[in-house]
Formats: sequence, structure tokens, C-alpha cells
Amino acid sequence: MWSRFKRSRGAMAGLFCIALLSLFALIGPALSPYTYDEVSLSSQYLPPGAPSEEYPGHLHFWGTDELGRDLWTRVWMGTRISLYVALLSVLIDLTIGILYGVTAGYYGGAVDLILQRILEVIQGIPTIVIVTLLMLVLKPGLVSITVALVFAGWINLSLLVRAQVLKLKETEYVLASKTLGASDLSIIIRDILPNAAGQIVIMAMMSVPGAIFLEAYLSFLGLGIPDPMASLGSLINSGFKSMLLYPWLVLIPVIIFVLLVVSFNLAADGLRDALDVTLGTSEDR
Amino acid sequence: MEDNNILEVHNLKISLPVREKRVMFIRGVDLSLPKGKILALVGESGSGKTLTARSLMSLLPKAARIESGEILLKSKTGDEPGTDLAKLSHARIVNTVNARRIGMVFQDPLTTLNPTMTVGKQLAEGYKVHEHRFAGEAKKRALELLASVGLPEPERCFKQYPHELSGGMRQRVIIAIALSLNPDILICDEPTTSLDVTIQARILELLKKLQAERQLSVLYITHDLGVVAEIADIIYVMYAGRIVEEGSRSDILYHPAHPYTWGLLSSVPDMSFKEERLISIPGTPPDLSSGLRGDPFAPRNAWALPEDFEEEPPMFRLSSTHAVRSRLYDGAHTPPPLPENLARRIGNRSSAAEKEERHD
Repeated sequence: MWSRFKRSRGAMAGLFCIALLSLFALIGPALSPYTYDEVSLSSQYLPPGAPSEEYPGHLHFWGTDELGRDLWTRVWMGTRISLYVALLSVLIDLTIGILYGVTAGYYGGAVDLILQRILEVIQGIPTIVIVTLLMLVLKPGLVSITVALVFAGWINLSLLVRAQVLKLKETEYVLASKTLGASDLSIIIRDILPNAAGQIVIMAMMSVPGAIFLEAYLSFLGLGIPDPMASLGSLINSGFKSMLLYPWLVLIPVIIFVLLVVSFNLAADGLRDALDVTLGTSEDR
Repeated sequence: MEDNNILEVHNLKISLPVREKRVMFIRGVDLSLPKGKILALVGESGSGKTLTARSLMSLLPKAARIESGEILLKSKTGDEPGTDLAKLSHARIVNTVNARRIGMVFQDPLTTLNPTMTVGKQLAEGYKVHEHRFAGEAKKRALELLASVGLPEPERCFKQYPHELSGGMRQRVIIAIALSLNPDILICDEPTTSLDVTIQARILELLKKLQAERQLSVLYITHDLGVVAEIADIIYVMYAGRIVEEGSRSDILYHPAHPYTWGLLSSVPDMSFKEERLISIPGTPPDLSSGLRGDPFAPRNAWALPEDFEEEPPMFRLSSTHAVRSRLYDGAHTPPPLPENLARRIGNRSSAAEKEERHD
């Protein structure tokens, strides 16, 4: 499978970008002497590459914001948050979403009926209401975003998985496996999931931008990452206010954000093609 | 249970829910499969052939229910009396009967193989071994099996995905998988319907060869009487969930008795009669869910008797092998002669068969 994945240039580029962004998210803040919340009122709105006042010999790589905070540090701190949210949403999709969808689709009947009604109730409550209510017991921050995603992030994928399972369990190869005495678990793992894998991967990856946006949106409402902590979403939001005068404040986080989303989508495409054995074989490609 | 029968079905009734009502789709089927013979179950779509076959392997749709009847399966050695599959649990049948006693070959080789697994992996599934242990003796046996179903390069085929094989090759792989655990009964559910004619002939040859080599008892389900003539030892004709005629190959093909069998035989295209109009059976199969009264075939039957509309006829024995569900043979009526065009065809065919025999 890896050899098939490698053959797709787009997918490799995506994977490379994700790796690079993750690396910088890890070490980026350490490359600058500033912390993400260090305020310096004398160095507001410095352009990218401006020399640092406090630390001679150092540069503000990407300039500073309205409070003189170093944008480089803040962007990479924000990338950490966004990557965390992205991984979390994929993980939730792949665990809760698949389990829920497979159970509902494969066992059908009363099980399906009950699971689908529960799902509809959850789907019916707007995420924003849940997060607002959570504020009664939690401080705004990563925990509330995590809870919001765990609560409702898997619904679309579970619906897709259920539909796929409903379709695939009627196929003749499932019936043929039954004539060979295969157990339900082995049918699900060997016959159903591999044949739905392409769709599942795409859907899980498509939920990444959604989750990152959700985080940005919650931060904007003051329900997500609180200031002075930064996320790509909140950086874009605050940079947007002074976009015409200080364009780098919005451009840089936007570029990072776009790179992140695009590379996730490219990698997902490659992964889907790598999983689809009918798209050419090791011999003829 | 008779001695030479490996499988007997007695008065099997299966119902399915239709609009909140339970409708009997199999209305009392009796069937005996002698050891080492090929039994063809013939009928139109919806006559219940497939449902009957699936009931043997506990593969009925979830909503279906076996209402009554027994399915007796004799043990492999034949020394014990038969087990009643209708009374066994689903898990028991899946673990002890399926694949080990009864193998099944399906209609469409395009969809019966899992497109995401190599042929080898799917064979491994048949052998019930984990792939990474699928080496040495087991793999050797699997390769032999692939060779025995006539696949030219077993080693290569082993590593291929289903989409890299042709329809005929796929059907061979499916047959190999069905035989992987050495079942003594093989159910073939229209295995050649979706193949083209030349491949069809080869698959039939293969099935006959395997049947002879392995002493398989085969239940062959089809609506194609051409195939039946090719392969069957015994023929059962099914209509609306019941057997309407049973007999040996020559009984059914040369001395058909039931008007429905006449209709089926006359509707087979025959190349030796160019100018002839193809005859079909008038009307459509009955809607079983609207309730039945009398013989379900009576409305389509030109020879129906008044009492057929009141009550379904029982089976009448014509000879030790031949039986028919029609009052025309109850002794009180004179059976009508064969329809003229059918008589002509049969005459033509039997003289051709005789000629062939003389050639041999």
C-alpha cells in the first residue's frame, strides 16, 4: 500500500507539507526568543523581518501584532492547536464514527432504529448550545473544543459508514463469506470495511477543515481558545481587523491554514487511491 | 431416510413478511439428493429455487422463517441417521455444515469475490487459516486446488486481485473456494448465467469433472433447460414454491408430463426449427401474497381441470423415478398427448441423441 501511496506526487507533497508544518509547530516557537504572550507596547505592528528591540541580534521573522507580540511564535503556537484539533477530529471519526455506523448498519432492525434516533437527537442540538452550556462548568479552552468534537464530530461519518454497510452487506461476496462460515466480525473487518475504506478516508479528512473552522469560530465567540493563547482561527480573526494597513497579520496565518487544509486533502486523495486496489496494480503502473 | 440419499428435504415451508402479512413462498417442498448425482432444480424467477437452496445453509434473509418441514443431512461417513438442519441453530450450521459439508457457487462471478482481497487471501479465508500462516502444506494444497479447477498459472493467480481475472477464471476461483474444505455437497446457484456461452460450456465441463473426481452430490439451480440437458442426472421442476414434476433426465426431457414442463421445454429456443415462432407460457407467475386458491398454475394452464381451481393436486407417481403434480394423471382422466410442436422437437432431439450415441 505504501508503494502505491508513494506513486502519487500530490499525496507525497501533502504528506511532506503536513510533516513540515508539524515540525515547525513543534520547534518554531523555540527558534524565537519571544513567548507567544510577551507584550511589548513599543514595538507594535512591526513588519516582517524587523529587528527586535528587547533581544539584540534577533529578528521578528513575521513582524508583530497590535500588542507587539511576535507573530512567528504566535502562528506556530496556533498551528499546534489546529493540528491537535485536526488529529482529534480524524481520530473521533475513525473510532466513534466507524463503530457507531457499522453497528447500526450491520445489525440493522431495532438496533439501527434506536441508534439512529439517538443520533438525530444529538444532531438536533446545535454545537454552539452545547459549548455554551459547557461554559457553566468549564473554562473556555481546548477542553471545551474537545468535548464539542467528541459530542458531535462523528455524526456525518457514522451516517456515511452506515449507508455503506447497508449497501455492502447485501453483496454476494459477503454472502459467499457466510457460506464459508465466516463470523460477523471477520465479515466486517475483511469484506465490508476495506470496500468502504476509500469513502471513509475521504470523509474523515474532509472533516479536518470543518473541525479547524469550528475551533476558529468558537474562539471568535470567546468560547474557544482564550486570549492571549492563539490559534490559527483567532489569529486570522484579529488580523482581519487591520488587514489593509498590516496585511501580514492576516496573510501569514491564512497561508499556513490553507497549506494545512490543502495538504490534508491531498494526502487523503492519495490514501484513497492507495487503498483502491482496482486502480492499477503493482505490475502495470 | 433412504440409503443412497445424502440430503433429503421433507415438506419444507418458508414464509417471508409482505406488507405485515406472512406469505408462504416455499409451500411444501420435497426433494432428495442422491449421493454422487447432479440434481437440477428448474423454475422461473421467483419460483423459490434460491430460497430453498439458501435454507440448506442457513442463509435465508433475516425476516424469513422456516414454518415447518425437515432438512435431513446424512453424516459424511453415512453410518448415522441424518441431522435435521431445520432444527439446528444458525451458528451450528455456519460452523459445522457450511463449507465443510455444503459448498456454494453463486451466480455472478463479478460480485462474488471481494474486490479488495487477492485470490490467495480469499482462498485462505476458505481454509480458515490466518494469511501469515498460509504457507507450506496449506498453500501447496490451495495451489493444487487452483490447478484442479483449471487455472493455468496458480502461482500467479494466487497473487492477483479479482479484477485482473476474466469472468470464467473468477468463476473457477469461486468454485475452488467453495471446494476448499472438501464439502461433499455443492450447491450451484445459476453459476453460468452471467458467462458467455463458450465459457459456460467449459465451466459445466469442469463441474462435471469435479463432480466425478470428488464424488460430489450437486444441487444445480437454473432456469436454463439447455444447461440442464447438459449436466443433470435428476430434474425437479419448481413452480410457485412447490415441486410440480420430478424425474430422471430422460423422464423430464423426453417424457415430460406436467403442462408447465411442456411450456418450459417449448419456450427454449431451438436452432433446428428456424421458421417456428417461439412459444411462451401465457400469463405471469402468481402473486403469492394475494392468497392462493387451488393450483397456482391453473390460470395459465390450457389443460386445467375444473377441480384444479378449487384444490391443488397431489403428486401422482408415473414410474419409480417420475412423479407429477397434475390431476391429468390420477387415473380417472386420459392424459392429453404432448403439444404437437413439442412432440416434434423431442422426436427430433431424441433421434439426434441416438445418432450421437451410434457415433460414439
